[in-house]
Amino acid sequence: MKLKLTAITASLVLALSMPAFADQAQDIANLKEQIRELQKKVGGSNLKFSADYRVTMDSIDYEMADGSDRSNDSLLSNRLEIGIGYQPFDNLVFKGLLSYNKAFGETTTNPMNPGMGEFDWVINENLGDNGLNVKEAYILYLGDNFLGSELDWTASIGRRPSTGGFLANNRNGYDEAKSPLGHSIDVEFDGLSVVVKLDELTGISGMDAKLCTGRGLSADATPRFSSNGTDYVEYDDGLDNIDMVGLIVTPYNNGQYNIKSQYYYATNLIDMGYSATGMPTGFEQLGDLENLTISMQVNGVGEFINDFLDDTVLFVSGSASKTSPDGKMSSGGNYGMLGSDDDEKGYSYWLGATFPAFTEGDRFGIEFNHGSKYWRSFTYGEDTMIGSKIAARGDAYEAYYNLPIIGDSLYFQLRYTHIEYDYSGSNGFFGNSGAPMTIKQANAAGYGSMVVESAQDLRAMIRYNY
Amino acid sequence: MKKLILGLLIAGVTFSAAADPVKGQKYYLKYMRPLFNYNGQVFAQQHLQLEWQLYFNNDAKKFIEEFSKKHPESEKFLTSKKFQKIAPHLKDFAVKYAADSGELPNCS
Repeated sequence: MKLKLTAITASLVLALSMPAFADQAQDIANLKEQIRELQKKVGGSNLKFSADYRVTMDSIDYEMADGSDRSNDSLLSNRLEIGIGYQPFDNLVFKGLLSYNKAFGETTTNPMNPGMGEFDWVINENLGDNGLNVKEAYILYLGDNFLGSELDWTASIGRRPSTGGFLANNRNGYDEAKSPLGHSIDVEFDGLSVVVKLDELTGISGMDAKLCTGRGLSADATPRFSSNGTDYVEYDDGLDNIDMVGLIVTPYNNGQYNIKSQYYYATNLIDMGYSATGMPTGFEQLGDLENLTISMQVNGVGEFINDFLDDTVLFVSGSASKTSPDGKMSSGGNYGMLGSDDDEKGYSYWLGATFPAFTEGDRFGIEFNHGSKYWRSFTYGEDTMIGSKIAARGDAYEAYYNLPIIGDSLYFQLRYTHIEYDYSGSNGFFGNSGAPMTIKQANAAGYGSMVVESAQDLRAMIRYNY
Repeated sequence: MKKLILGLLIAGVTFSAAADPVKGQKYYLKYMRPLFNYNGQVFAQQHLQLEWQLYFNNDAKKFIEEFSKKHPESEKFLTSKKFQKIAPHLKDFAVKYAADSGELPNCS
């Protein structure tokens, strides 16, 4: 309000102090321009806040390999995401997102041991405590002459948006996708990226290329105020950095047909190590992972055939992963990645459609995805209570209904997800916890009560968004 | 298959699509971007929200006038029936990302 008053006063003083123009039309034009600038200041470049708050009720059920059943009929949770942003100059933006995600009431089970729920990649996607965590914080620079050319480009650095990516936004109920391809990456990430718009150079609609790099884990290092004064020095026998480099290319996007491809290479991936007596010995690094994904979304079938087809969205995506174990033997005799000494390839495909339902704005969606024996995605942060459906080594079916209740601000979703696993380890890490066993093998090895054969989640959600 | 297509066509008659900034963005990229040669953000930031409202009044009369002058090669499309179909969505897109909208660019 103070800003508004100051700006209005300044504008009036400026207007009154201006020399009178003979031409009244010129005076009016000048005043219009001043008001325009004022409007931009008031509405445009001050600090912005947004709020995304939702309450969900999930009814979840797991059928284990031994036939036993585990469930939670009414898991109630609430998630709040507070967005902040500021654009002090046309070419410079700061954005942040603070998040809170918690089950209703007090949680008394293992309060001192949240398991992997507090791992940095997924800390805002899992149910935690009452605190706010930083989900996103990054600086975005907007340039218009990349390396002296006339190509538009952007660069960003920080804790960047990397959950709810391309295609995953449909099931999450958002019109816009965040950065990576949701088929292979759906975790929080610290890094940097550079995007170069190539459409003007190539004449191909929407073409661009984005280089992403980042660090998923910082090497074990001495603490601050070390006794010998060597703060933050890497331990020789500690964990190394987990680094990732990726390239996202949009070869074509004309608004209706949007094709994206993504390749990444991640190093020094981890899993929990165990001693010969079966006691956990901490994380161990096992090798590298690479992935290639190609996704396509068709936004509208045909051209103005009718409103239903105009508003129908179809998508298809294929993804392949490959492990490269480093061959080192761990303290407990574990080695290899995904339970294998060899390089292992996995693949996954994902199909889906969303289409108009009964009234203005509501939509149905259906999706199916399948993953092979050694399929491994980086989708631990996917918004699904029963574990990432995209990570499934087996089949996952999903149907949802999205209903805007009051404008774009209040929104309801009903969603059903069903996963049939062919192999164990779908949501494991990169070592033995990700080793695939068939349901039969799991039972034969006596792990029947520890391996999920199928899982389902019926979710009702109401969300406020401003 | 024929029955499915027929069903979809009949179903389509019963739906009426509301104006939608996301559809406006899609239509801008598909139809306007090749004619104007600048991206949607540059387009939307040319005017204030109120100005865009006025531009799209009366079947987008003022919009057609101004942008036909600015980009003569776009006149044929702007005066077509197809443009009238996309104009409500385009308006919502322009208003959402107007110079005074407060919308900030995303890291995309």
